[in-house]
Amino acid sequence: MGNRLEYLLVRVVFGLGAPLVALVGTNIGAGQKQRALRIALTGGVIAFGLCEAIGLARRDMADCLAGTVR
Amino acid sequence: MLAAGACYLRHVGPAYGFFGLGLSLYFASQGAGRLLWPLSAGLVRLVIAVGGGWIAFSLTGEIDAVFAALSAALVTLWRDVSAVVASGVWFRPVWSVRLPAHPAVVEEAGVMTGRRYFKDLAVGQKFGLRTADHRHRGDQGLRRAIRPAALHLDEEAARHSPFGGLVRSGWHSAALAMRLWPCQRFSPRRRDPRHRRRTGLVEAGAAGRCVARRNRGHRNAAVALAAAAWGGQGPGDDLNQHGETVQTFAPTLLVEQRTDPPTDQR
Repeated sequence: MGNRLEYLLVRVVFGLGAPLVALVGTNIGAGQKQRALRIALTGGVIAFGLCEAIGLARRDMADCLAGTVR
Repeated sequence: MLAAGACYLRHVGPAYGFFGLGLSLYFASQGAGRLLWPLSAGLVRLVIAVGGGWIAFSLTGEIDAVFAALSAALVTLWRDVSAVVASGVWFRPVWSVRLPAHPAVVEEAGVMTGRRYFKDLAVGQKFGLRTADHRHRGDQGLRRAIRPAALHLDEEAARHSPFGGLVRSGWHSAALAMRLWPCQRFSPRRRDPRHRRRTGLVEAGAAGRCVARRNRGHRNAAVALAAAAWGGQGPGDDLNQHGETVQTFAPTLLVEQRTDPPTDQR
């Protein structure tokens, strides 16, 4: 079950990561180092927010589930 | 089953954000074309998740410990990939390339004196050469070995040639010119027997490449190549009897790299 959830996360981050590859690649190619780093950091923070939200939401849900089952 | 799932989510759920951050930085590294270290970080995560989880489970016998290891692995992934990106690996060259020396253009005499190491040379730097009279210099045996034509060596025979006199051999002047090249000025320790052979080879115009190969790996014999140009009118010129420039050289100098404190000028 956890594995499945992680697959879900991977899908989400893939969606973010594909444009990150292109953006960081073009900016490094153009010599815009700071901008490339900023893009990576922004993407990373967004991914962190999304995944953290999913993780915490699922945790709460799991608590509810566990509570109802027990 | 549900309890286990809940337990997993309770432990690992809060670490999902780090997973997202680490994975997105991994993607960004892919964009930067530097995947070696992020991939290694992924490997470390695998080791911590599997190995750490297994050890934790065998120690405690609780499933919570495994989940804790999984979550620690996710945080480690984030930490490693962030450290890699923060270390500036993106902007480092993949291989450090040592570029060949720039050609040093040598035009006229009297500007640069004293011994020089490779790093003392700069593009456009000038240094002087001694002058030599081709007619009276050079040992006949060497000339005969280099270019044994009567036209160039035997005055009597040359007088009966279509030219009516001795004609200078290009090979002879090349050999003489190479002797004038200031390799002794560039070689800081030519009295050291280890260096004598190399200096001699350079002076005789032998292939520098074979010298470099012989000295490879010797700590004190690191040499570098510097290209130089020699041409135009000037005190170091190669002139004929009418004062015209007859020769232009593009030689390569073997110049020692400084590996020890500078020695005094001998």
